[in-house]
Amino acid sequence: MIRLASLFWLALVAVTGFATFKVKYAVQDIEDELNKVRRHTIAEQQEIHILRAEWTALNQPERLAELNRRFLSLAAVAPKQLQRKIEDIPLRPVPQPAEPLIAAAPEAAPMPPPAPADVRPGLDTVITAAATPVAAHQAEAATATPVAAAAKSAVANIHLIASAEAAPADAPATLKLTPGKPEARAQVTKASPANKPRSLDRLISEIAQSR
Amino acid sequence: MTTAQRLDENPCRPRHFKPPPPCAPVVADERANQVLDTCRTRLVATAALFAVVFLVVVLRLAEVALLSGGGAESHVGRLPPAAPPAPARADIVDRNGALLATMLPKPSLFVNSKALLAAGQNPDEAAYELASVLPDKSPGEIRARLVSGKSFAYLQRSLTPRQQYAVNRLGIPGLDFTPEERRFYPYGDLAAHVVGYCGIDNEGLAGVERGLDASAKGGRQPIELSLDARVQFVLREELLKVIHDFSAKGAAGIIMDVRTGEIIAMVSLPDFDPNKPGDTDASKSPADAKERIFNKITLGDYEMGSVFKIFNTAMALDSGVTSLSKGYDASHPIQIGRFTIEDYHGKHRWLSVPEIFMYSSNIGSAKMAVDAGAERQRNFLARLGLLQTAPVEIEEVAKPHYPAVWRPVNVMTIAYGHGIAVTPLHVITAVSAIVNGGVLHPPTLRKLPPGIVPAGEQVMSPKTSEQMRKLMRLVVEFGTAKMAAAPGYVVGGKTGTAEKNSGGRYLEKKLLSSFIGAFPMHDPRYAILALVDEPHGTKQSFGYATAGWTVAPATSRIIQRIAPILGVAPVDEASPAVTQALTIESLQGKRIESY
Repeated sequence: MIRLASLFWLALVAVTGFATFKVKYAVQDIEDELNKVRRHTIAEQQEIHILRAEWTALNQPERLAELNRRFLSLAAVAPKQLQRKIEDIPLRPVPQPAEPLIAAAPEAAPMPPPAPADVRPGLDTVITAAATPVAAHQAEAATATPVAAAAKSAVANIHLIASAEAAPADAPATLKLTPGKPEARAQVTKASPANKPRSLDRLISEIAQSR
Repeated sequence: MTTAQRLDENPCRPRHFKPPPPCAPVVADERANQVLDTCRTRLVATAALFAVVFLVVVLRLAEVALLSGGGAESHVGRLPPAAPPAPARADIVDRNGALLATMLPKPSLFVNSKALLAAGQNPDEAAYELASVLPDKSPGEIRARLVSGKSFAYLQRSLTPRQQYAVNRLGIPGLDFTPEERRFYPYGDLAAHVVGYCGIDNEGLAGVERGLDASAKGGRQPIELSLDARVQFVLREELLKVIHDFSAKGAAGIIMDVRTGEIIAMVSLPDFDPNKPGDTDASKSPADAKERIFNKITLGDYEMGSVFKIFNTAMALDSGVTSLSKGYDASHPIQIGRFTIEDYHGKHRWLSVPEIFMYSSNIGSAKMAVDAGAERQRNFLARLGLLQTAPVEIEEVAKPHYPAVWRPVNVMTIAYGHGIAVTPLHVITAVSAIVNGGVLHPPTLRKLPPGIVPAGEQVMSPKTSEQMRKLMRLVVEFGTAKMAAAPGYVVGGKTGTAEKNSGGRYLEKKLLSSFIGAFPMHDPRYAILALVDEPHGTKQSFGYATAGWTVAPATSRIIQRIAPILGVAPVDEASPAVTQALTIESLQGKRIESY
């Protein structure tokens, strides 16, 4: 009986002793690591400090002005370029409907290329269509209606494609953000079919909420 | 019987253990009892000792295990700190956090020649490699130190981080660095006079480095200045242009937030590079080191000339001696003693107060001052802080010079800014108070928290301030400072062209042209002062070197460039809100002779 108890205690002592040493060495390792991390942190912080000084030196206004002169030639902002509020910025003038002007243009005007289905060239066409009248005025062309039609279809195209693009581009992007949440997905799908032209402010607030 | 006897003989028998039967005769043995007592006491003492020791162990265990106290902390304390040691001097940053001054490690490279040779390094090769990294040392020079046999010999003091990296990359044994720190000014000469510079032992010798030396040495929190490096750059660049265009000797400028007294920019040219304050760069200007280090804004006592008419007119209006609808006869020069007071741009007729100010009439101003009297004039200038040293954070400040006895002739000359010499810092501080509603804020180079407006001292009525704003706007609209106009920013101000006084004589060809203004005048935010030292007329300025032709156009350019930086939105100068705030009723319907 006494033997058994002694054995138990002996075993316990051995186990405790072993565990103690184990913990001790583990702690030592962690301490070494901490030491290393701290030394690294300090080195990094000093590095950052030096880099910050270098960054400032590289950002000397004199140097930036010289770089600007050499590569960008940006001018100082003129007072007339500064507006107090967003409402002060005048809207781009609405382009005149193309038909009457072009219809008035004489016959032999070269026909502009028909509006392709792609969006970006379509945009170009609209711009050329708007610009043509000036040139077409002197050159003679009576075949104006196709031009106008092309321009019109281009505008329509843009509208279509823009809206078509807006819907799918929107939904997956938001879906990606919240892949695992069915409620969120439901919300998004509810929101996207409506596809109203959203204001920038709303977009920003939505992004803020999703964070 | 025998058993009991035997038992009883045992002296260490516990008392309760089988007592002798009552029939047995009690042996009264004194000696045995004594021994028994001693034994018992020893036992108790030992037990108590063990108990105490075990208690201590138990308590300690409880403390370590349960209260998590004890030695763990002292162990952590031996670890290196989590942050780098505090620098010898705190950083200095501008109001947007751009570094104006910082400490950089500038380690010195030394060689342990013994170790190098013991490692079997070829000294010729090492010297050649090192010379490619350290450009100002020759291989021969380096080799001599590598083979010197000393365990410590400097190869190069103050290495740049790049050089240190390059040396490390060479991997030459026996080389090491001593950690040293040096003050570094990344923007160079941009704000040299404000920031100042340090000596070899990192002690502040000039500018803020000297003025705020204690707080710079104090810790790691950067010192935030009110300066804006971008504005500072614009001011400096335009002033350099003025110096160049008019082949001037020097120039200076200062921009102040009129609501708080914060100095946004302060430039004095020629200036110096605080990284090497003693050096002079002859390619930029022939000035010597002493002249470069001289801060014209705070140390230069100048007779500011017509700029003082701002103070004179404000004094006359505030004391009620005159009003905007009154005027003075300025048709004849004033003779007083050996002085003759004349007008530079004489109109030779009666002039109203706005006209006196606009055409900068000395005669009218002198008469106005005489009307108010010496007492009022002196008190008013004193209230504006023009008769004492300007209270600012840097120590390079000059005392104003003014007559000890305020005689009548002094009253007259001081009216148009002669016979009194103050620093440009004085002028801009006082003008800020005049345009901001009459509240004087002491100038400061330290950034104030946004939205905090320090309590100032009301030195004149808000009404006078409003009238002065109108008058200053008039000068730019129709008067001598038309070229200072910056469309959209409603600039107002006053020019001053003074002849420099040298040994009591005025030198006609040596001018000090200055312009002090503020913008936007209907609700002033910033005051700006620019002055140019000894400008020479050019073809473009039709030979004129006066303020209206030299610093006024520069001020216009400066304002147009800095206003967007400072967040001042341009307004329509013809809008009713602006014109209403700046119209002088007494001038309505009168023809203003364009100047």
